[in-house]
Amino acid sequence: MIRSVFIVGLWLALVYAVCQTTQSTYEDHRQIQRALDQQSPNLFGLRGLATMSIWLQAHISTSPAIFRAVNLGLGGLVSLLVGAIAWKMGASGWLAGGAMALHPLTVETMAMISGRRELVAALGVLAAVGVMVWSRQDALFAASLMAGLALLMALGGKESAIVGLMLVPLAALATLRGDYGKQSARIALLAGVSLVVWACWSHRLVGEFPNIQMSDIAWAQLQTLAAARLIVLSIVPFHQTVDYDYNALPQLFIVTAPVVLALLVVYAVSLWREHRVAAFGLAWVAIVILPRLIVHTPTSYFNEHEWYLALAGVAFAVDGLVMGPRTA
Amino acid sequence: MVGLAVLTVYVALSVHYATVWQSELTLWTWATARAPLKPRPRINLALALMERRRFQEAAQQLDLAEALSEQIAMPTYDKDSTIKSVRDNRAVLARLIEPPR
Repeated sequence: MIRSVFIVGLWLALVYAVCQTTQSTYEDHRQIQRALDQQSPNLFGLRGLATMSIWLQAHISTSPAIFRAVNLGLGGLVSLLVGAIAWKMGASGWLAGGAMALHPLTVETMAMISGRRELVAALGVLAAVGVMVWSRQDALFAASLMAGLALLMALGGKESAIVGLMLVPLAALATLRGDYGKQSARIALLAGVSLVVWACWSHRLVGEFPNIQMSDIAWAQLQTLAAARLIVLSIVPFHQTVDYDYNALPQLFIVTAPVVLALLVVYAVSLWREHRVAAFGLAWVAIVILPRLIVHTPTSYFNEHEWYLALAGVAFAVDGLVMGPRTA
Repeated sequence: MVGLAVLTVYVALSVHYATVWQSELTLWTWATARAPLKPRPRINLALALMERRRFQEAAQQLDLAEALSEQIAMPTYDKDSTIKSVRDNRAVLARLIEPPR
């Protein structure tokens, strides 16, 4: 009880700090103006749910502080889901939920209106995973249907929620008992990975960038570097910035970044039997990174607000590694 | 205890970073300090300075952004767009300093 009050107190301090603004930042004023100029958006279009949410809010109040407060509220829900999933998987739960709510890498997501898309996507993906983790073994079909609906909601936030097709089977693999359940989860995970890789490869050149010529391998290298930076920031959250200068990094970093990602996967596999929640979290991070290596977005590398869903994996891993399995 | 200590460190760093997001000026001042050789944060800082009518500092940032744009070697870097952005904003700045009669 005291621990919960302490964590809520820390979270309220963060809410206060993030909402201390009267100004829009980072092109938010454009988003608000676009919402005000727009007729009712299509709820079922690409990013429809998040766009509708921003549109509705802009017509009620254009205050940047209130936009941020709503983002923080959604972030609170996401954190509760992360805590509940971690608890059900045998971890303490409070540390995973607390890490998801308080980690410095969440600040950019909460402070930007665009963060709403990441939040809606994360809420849907975690709801889908939560349904799978909390369902009874004899109700898997119903759970799969509900998880599918939650993933549709997540896609209404942002297309990056497609990783849910891999994360839900991963959660099933981590929690289901019995050969039949595990075998089904393995097949679903393989199918999910194949489907996501195919979908990303088919749509890897989104938008038009006539002045930028880049091969798939060069893009994957750069995104690997960005992902490695975000992994390091997840562990040591110093020197965050909204616009990192990858050009200033020595060539050595481009060579070592794939090693960081490979180590992440190897570590996840090595922990799978003994530290299931930590391994699940690390595998979660690797899965969220995968589509980013394929889909070209040349004007924007993998950045801090886009890392929000991966941060859930970091939260699971922190809980699993720091607290170990729950004893009571 | 270790878990609570981790969360306390997280929130201290988060609250500190949240202050960076209070305005365009604080955000881009922070960003230029962390990426001093990158043109884009300097262009955005110039815009924030123009809003506060700090025209001389804004002009310096635009000059720096243009000079730096020659030095970027990233394959994803769109130099033409950066230089166009610098020139467009310089024109806006000139109109702010001396409005047309």
